[in-house]
Amino acid sequence: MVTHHIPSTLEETLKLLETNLYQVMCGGTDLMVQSRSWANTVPKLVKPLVFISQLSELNFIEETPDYIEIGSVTSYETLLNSSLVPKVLKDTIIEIAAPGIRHVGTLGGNIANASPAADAVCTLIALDAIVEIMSSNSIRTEKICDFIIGVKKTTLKPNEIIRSIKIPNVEHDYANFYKVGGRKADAISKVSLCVLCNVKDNIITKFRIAFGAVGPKVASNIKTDELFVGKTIDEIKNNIDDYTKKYASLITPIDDQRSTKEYRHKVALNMIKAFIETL
Amino acid sequence: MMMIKFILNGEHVEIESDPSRRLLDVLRSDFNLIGVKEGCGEGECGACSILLNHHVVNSCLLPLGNIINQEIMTIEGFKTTKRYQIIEQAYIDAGAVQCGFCTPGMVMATESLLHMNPSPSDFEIKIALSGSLCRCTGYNMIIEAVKIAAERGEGLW
Repeated sequence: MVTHHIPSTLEETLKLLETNLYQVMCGGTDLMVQSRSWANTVPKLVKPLVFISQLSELNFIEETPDYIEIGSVTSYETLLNSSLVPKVLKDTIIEIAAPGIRHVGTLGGNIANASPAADAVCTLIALDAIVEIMSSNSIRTEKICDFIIGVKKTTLKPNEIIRSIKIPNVEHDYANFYKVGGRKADAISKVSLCVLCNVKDNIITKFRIAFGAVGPKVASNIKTDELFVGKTIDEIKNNIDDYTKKYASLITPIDDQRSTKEYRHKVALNMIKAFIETL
Repeated sequence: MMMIKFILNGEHVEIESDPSRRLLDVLRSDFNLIGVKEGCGEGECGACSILLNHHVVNSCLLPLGNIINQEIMTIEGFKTTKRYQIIEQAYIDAGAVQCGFCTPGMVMATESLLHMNPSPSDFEIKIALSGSLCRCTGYNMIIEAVKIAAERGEGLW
């Protein structure tokens, strides 16, 4: 007989996680689908649940001089309504699911679920966000691109929980999110892309791209991004095919029920081109 | 099993149940609220939409453990309000109901929108209803119904 828990404080939650192997449940919008069973039966769960969406200590949005910090159980809808959240993250969230899911789905859940197609993760990786992770006796931080290590895999240990996500307070001249899905709402991405770019005197000073749904985790490579830095916009536009192809080896999609690898590869490169043309 | 208390259609209720169960099942089986429909069972169709603290949510994705002391409203509870009457008449007048399976979810999404935004634009209406699928109407009549409801119900939201 599994015993689920609904702790009322963060402290109680972290103590519980020290005692047994649990599945942490937040908004439920991914887990309830993954553990779905027949109608009117309990979900198929491997481990007992610890519910965390009620923890007020993890529900916040704060601004510090260096970061916007978002508590892991803060809902997408709350983020959409906050003036502190960067516009590119809001542009991403509005592409996630639909209001019924955004009212309960969370940033912490999207990260912990570690889907290669996670839209918010794509943008958070481009933004160089940092994940703060807590256990009953420790607190650590990790870059989100290192925290997620593969399909549905993170470095989170069984006694740990994601406390918050810290987004560096950096301005961008261009910050765009593109998503291709089978439907305008409630679609899991076939391909997604977040691109951030700064330009000074016609010269690129920052270039950062992250791709969703093109590999085992959201893909990005700072070394490839840096090939754009120091170049003039004209240089890049005049050699647009060459510059776009620099990302080709990073894009290693698969065939699945949503799309094919050929389509994903082509569209991902086309989205970079479409962005370059807006410069 | 756990004793779970919440507010259902304005009344305090409690139920001894497994907190991992879908709210959809609890509403239909334990409370006989069958206006809440199961369509896809995975958050794509919106037929199971209910209000959680006045906001539309897919009850097929909501575990019972996430609603302790929260306010849940289903179409049966909403039916008793003046706002429902305005929405119902608007749906009838616009021809927004055909087979009716999506309608309770559409109505809850409509109420959730008008609660936050009493005079929405066409674009805002489309976003608000984007989680609900209708295979009969082609949506234009439903969008029209929401516009009629917003106009006639001015001051109610």
